[in-house]
Amino acid sequence: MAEDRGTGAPRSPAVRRGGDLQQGLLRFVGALAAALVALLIMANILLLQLVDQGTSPKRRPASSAQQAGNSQLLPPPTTGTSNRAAASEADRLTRTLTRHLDGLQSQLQPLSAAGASLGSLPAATSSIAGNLQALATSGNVFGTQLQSTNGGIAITNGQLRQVVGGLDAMNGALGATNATIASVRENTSGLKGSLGTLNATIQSLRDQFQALDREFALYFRIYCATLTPRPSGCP
Amino acid sequence: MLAAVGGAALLAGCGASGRGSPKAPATNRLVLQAGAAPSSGECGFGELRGPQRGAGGATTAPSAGTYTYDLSGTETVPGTGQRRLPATSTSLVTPTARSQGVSCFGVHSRYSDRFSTSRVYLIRGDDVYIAASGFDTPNFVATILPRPAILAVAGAGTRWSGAFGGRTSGTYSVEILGRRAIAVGGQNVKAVELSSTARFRGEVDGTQKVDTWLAEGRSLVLREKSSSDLRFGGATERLSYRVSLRSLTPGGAGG
Repeated sequence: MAEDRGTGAPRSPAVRRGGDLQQGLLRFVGALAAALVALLIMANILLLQLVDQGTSPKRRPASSAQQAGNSQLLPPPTTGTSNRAAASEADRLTRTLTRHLDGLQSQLQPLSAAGASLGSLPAATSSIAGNLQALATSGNVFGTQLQSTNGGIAITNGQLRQVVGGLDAMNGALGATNATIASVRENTSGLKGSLGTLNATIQSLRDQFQALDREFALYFRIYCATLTPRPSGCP
Repeated sequence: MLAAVGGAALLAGCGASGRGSPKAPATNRLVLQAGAAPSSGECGFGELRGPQRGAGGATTAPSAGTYTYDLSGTETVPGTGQRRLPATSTSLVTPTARSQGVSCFGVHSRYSDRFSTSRVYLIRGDDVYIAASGFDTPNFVATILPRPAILAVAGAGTRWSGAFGGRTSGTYSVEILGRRAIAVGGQNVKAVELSSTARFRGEVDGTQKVDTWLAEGRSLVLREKSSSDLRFGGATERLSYRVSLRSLTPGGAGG
């Protein structure tokens, strides 16, 4: 049987469940923190691939020059989506994303505090802990997807959709947690305060993630609309 | 995204020279002088066919002067074996010459008392090209004049490749890997990472791989990692190094 550190006393089931909840919250916060970092990185590089593939410079350096007998000093200038314009757009989107992420970060603080205050929740909260575990898993998947996009510039449309799918999964988990909390709150008046805080925090997180979701949708629209020729996978 | 990155990665820091061109033939050496822009001939201005127009146009040459880099790496020369490079390297940037819408400047980089390289860059719009690349090593001196010039930085696109002819011909490919701020001398500079590979045939044979962080809009190398394996005649000379710029402010007055 697990023991409380320092006292040697057997850990009660209620305390263990509270610990699970706290652990779940901490994992969730950790996963989100990783996702935040990855998002910032991704925001910086996302627009690089706007000019990838479909807009590789149309310069035909070798062939045209060689056909001209190698006598030409400069090959034709590059054309297509300007790297300068893409950089400017990436900076703008990064600023937008940063605003969202700053908001998320400020929401994570009370969430963590709420988790710490729920150390002795009754058995009814075990389902919340379970949902938070699922949330942490979703967060990890989400973070991993974002991290993977940092591994190379060749992010594909499919990967973008996976990221959006990850956000959806997190939204879903948040929704499930929210519903559980509402249910618990009805039956556990004593916990109303802390759960209310947690509930509001999670609602806010949902809003933030939905906003992020919209941002990614915007990225994808820009991605498809800006490039000439239109890359495969665009509607 | 790469708003007007300058500089160039390809060929930066090869150490080598021309086959059958034992040390010294002055005609094989690309000479860049402090305080003086490359000559019209070195820039290839005479080969331009009328006024040039490139997309964008805000990319500029770095300020003339001598830049100091932290250096680590090794050089391998036939007969003397491998030896560690000194702790610092310098790059002398010349003033800029202009003609028909094209800017031209030179960079002479010294990695040790035995290895140095010289390059002549052309800027048209936001495209940056290498028009000449000289190598000066203990055993050989050579200058490559790629035609068409090597596209070192593209104003549009994140991946490009090409081929060039001349007494040394070859192929190259470049990819933009990322973009972030890099601290140099206490200042944050927006930089773009370029990864390039070049293969040479002819007077110079071999391969060079370079990973470069360039200041956006300024053709200035902030950091670079390079490894080259080049053969001249039967001998292979290797240079492998990392450099990191100490300060954005150059010393000296144009080299």
